[in-house]
Amino acid sequence: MRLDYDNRRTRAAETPDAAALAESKTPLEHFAAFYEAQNGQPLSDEQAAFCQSLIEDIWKEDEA
Amino acid sequence: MRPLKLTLSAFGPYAAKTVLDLAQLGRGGLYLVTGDTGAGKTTLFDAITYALYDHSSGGVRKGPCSAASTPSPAPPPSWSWNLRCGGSAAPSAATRIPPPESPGRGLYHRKGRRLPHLRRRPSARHPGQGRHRRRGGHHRAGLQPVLPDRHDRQGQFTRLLNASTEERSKIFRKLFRTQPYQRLQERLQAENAALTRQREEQSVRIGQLLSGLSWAEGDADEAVLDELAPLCEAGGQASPEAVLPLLDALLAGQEQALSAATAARTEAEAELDKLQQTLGRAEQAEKLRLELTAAQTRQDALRPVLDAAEAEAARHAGDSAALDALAGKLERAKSNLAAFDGLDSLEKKLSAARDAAALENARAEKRRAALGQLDGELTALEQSLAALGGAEAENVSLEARAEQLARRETALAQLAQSLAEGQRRGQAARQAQERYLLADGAKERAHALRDHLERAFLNAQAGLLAEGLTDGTPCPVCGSTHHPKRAVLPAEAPTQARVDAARQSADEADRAAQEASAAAAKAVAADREAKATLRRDAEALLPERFTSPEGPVKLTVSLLKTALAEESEALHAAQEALDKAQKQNAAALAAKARQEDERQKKTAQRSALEAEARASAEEAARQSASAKALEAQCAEARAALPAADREEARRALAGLENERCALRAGMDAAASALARARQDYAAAEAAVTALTAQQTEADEAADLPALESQRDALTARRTALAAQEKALTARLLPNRKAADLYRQHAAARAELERRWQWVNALASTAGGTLSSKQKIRLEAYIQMNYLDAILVHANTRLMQMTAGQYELERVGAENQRSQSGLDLGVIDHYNGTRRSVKTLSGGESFKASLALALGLSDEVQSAAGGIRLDTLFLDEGFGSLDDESLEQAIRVLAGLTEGDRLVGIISHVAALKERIDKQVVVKKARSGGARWRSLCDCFPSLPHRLPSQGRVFQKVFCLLRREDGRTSLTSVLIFRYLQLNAVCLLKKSLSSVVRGRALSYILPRLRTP
Repeated sequence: MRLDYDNRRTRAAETPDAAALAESKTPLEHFAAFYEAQNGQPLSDEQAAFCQSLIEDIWKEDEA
Repeated sequence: MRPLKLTLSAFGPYAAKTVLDLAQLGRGGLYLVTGDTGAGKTTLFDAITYALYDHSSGGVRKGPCSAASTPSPAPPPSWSWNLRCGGSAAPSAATRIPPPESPGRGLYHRKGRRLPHLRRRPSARHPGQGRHRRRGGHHRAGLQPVLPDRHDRQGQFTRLLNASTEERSKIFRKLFRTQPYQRLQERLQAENAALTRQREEQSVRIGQLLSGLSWAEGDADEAVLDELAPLCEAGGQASPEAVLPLLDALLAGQEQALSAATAARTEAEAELDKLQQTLGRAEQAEKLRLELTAAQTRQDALRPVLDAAEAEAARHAGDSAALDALAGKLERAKSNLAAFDGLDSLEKKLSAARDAAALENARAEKRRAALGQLDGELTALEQSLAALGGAEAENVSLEARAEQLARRETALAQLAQSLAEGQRRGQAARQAQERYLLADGAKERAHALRDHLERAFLNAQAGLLAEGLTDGTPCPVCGSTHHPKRAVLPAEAPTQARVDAARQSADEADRAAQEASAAAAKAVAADREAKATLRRDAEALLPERFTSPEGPVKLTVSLLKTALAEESEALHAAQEALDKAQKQNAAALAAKARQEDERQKKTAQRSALEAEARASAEEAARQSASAKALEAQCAEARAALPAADREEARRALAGLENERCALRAGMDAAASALARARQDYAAAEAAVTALTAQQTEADEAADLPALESQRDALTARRTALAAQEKALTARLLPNRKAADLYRQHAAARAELERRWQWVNALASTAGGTLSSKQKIRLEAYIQMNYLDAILVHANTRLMQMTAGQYELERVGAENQRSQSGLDLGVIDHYNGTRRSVKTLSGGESFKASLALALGLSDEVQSAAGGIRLDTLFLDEGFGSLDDESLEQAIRVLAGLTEGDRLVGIISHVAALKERIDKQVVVKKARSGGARWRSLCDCFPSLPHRLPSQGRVFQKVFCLLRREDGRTSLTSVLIFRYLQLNAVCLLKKSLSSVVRGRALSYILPRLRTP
């Protein structure tokens, strides 16, 4: 005899494709989201441009 | 990556070469590695890990040095395996051989460095494979051992579960390739550090600029200076807004001071200039006065000099007449000297004429001697020519004799010919007579034969007549009819024909004899005639031989021949003598011609020589005459000479010259001295006049010493002012420059400050160093996304395994000191609490970490470009689960085998042995080493990719067909399938016949435990 719980949380069927969603974001978008979450304000244009150039550099190295 | 074949040699308990054909296990599903404790289950797994990664699966276990446990001499330790990577078709292979064991050193590098002997070679049949492997990043990553620890030592299995954010971050970095984000963090922090450094450098530079400012009391307002000094002390910390106005004020003050100083200096200089002019004028006047005095003194001194020069000039006035007289004397002396020269040349000519005359005389003499010799030679030639005079006549007689001899030679030849002809004719006559005698003989014999034959023929006529006579018939001759004695026919009776032939040949012989007789007569006549001719010829030619007073000599052939030979010889001798004489004569003729030529030549020579001799004689006479004339001239000239000799004349001339030179020099010196004295005096006079005129214009003398002391004071003042100006400029210029630079640097610094602020914000955010926030790095943030996804996968399994009790969640850090973001917590749905994963019990921890591992593998696979997990090994850990939990775990694991995933479980838990059909059973052998067998070979024909229901059916169906005594095994299997609701499947999916057979087989066995 066992008592099972009806679990609303698990029933809410978390989307397993959260990771896929994460993948579809660009690195800059990830960073922007992170920055906004941590600082409460979005990246400035200058910051975005600077990060973009760094990201391009690094990802190109990574591919090479 | 899936292992296909594992070959072990001297590895752990596997002493002998052991080949594990893992391909038999198929491409998916669960299999169990089971066996006795210590038999070598985990060793198999270790072997795979060693071959791939060069270290054992668990950190606790030692390497293959455990080969020491193999007592027997074993083959060298080596492991090789074939494996299949990802979706690639061709297998790869690798062999790893440890370095040879040396005493005192471990067999293996304890740090687990990759061995140099590792060879990875792509399959020969698929040459592209190697390149593919090298290139593909995820394949490389796929070779890393990424799963959490699979050993059942307490706590190790749960390392991933309980790992800190940092540890988990390292694992995730490999799995999800979040390295670039980490690099981004680092780059941002590096940029931030660089900017910070720049800021500091700039502060230092600004501080230097400010401390370099300089001023003196009174350069600007006291207030400004008081305010500026502390700011300069502060250096880079001072705010530009405060500093800049003060700086401007300072500069303005300094500029003002500088312009004041400059004005004062200019004024002093103007005053000084004016004073200088006054002073100059006074000095000029003084100088003029002094000069006039000097000029007057000089004029006075020059007066007596002029007077003396004039007196001297007057003394030399009469000298020019004396000079003219001297010139006349000089001319005469010169002509005297010239007369000597004329005499010398005359004497020279005289001696030349004498020499020429003597020379010509000698030449004429020589020629006359040559002429005499030539005459002698000519006479000799004449004589020789006269001796050769008869040569022509002899030549003619010799030619006549030659002709005579030739004629005689011809006659002799003719005679020899006639002799030969006579001999030939005599021979012919003899031959003709012989032929006649022969022909006559033949004629006689032919006549005799004919007569004989005629007689015989006539004799035979009676015989012939008698032949035809018979008794009774009358004889034609006699008419008797009786023939008592008939004529007998002789034995050789010639025929008529033969008689005729004899007659004919007799006639021919007659004719031949006649012809021969005629020919002989003719030949004899010819012979006789030839002999007569010969006689005539011989007598004509050689009468002395063939005629004699006694009458003609008998002419014989031998005589003739002898005579001919003798005559020929004589003839030849005569001809030779003639030839010789002719040659001699020709030589004489040639000599004569030569001498004749010579005579002509010499005659010509002689006439020429004669002419030359005559000419020489004439020339000699002429030269003698001219010599005589010259001699007369010389005598005359010598008589006319004024002086005794040449030296005297020359001395007179030189004396005169000297006298004239002295006179002229005295005159010239007096004249030039006078001119110079006059000029000097005139100059002195003019100077005095001019200076006197200037003197009248000049001002009266000023007070020079007073003026000079005034000037010195002014100069000192000007110098002081200039020094002040210079000092001000020296302060102002650097200050101005420093102010400019400060303005620039301040602007640059503002810009830098701004940039630093936003870069610093970026760097601290990315590095997780924001104050008063959770310490989450950018990479951790990205990894959080993955962790969330992993937790979704993991929770579906954990909920299953814990019957919905537990769920994992990502929680924030417990404090703000350590890096966070990837920490895990657990939600207990039974009592609604959230707690740390560290509070879970051992079994729960195993479940949670298994779920996490599986979720991780799911997520890794599903991540785009992520790692493909083909094979999963679980080493023990099931022992801590109760039956129900085990059941739940196995259910979860069975669910894993969807797709091409192979899950290997290493365990000796009995429940697992019963539930998993593919098994590798490892047995401990007493002799050392281990044996293994695979149970999956029971179903060699099983297709491995069937829908789960169909597969169950297939297996059961196979069991039905292959019931061949393996009852114990099949019963276990059947039992298992029944546990998996096989009956239910059988009911649903089988046809009635098959289902009937299956049930009839299975149902009785259901009752057995």
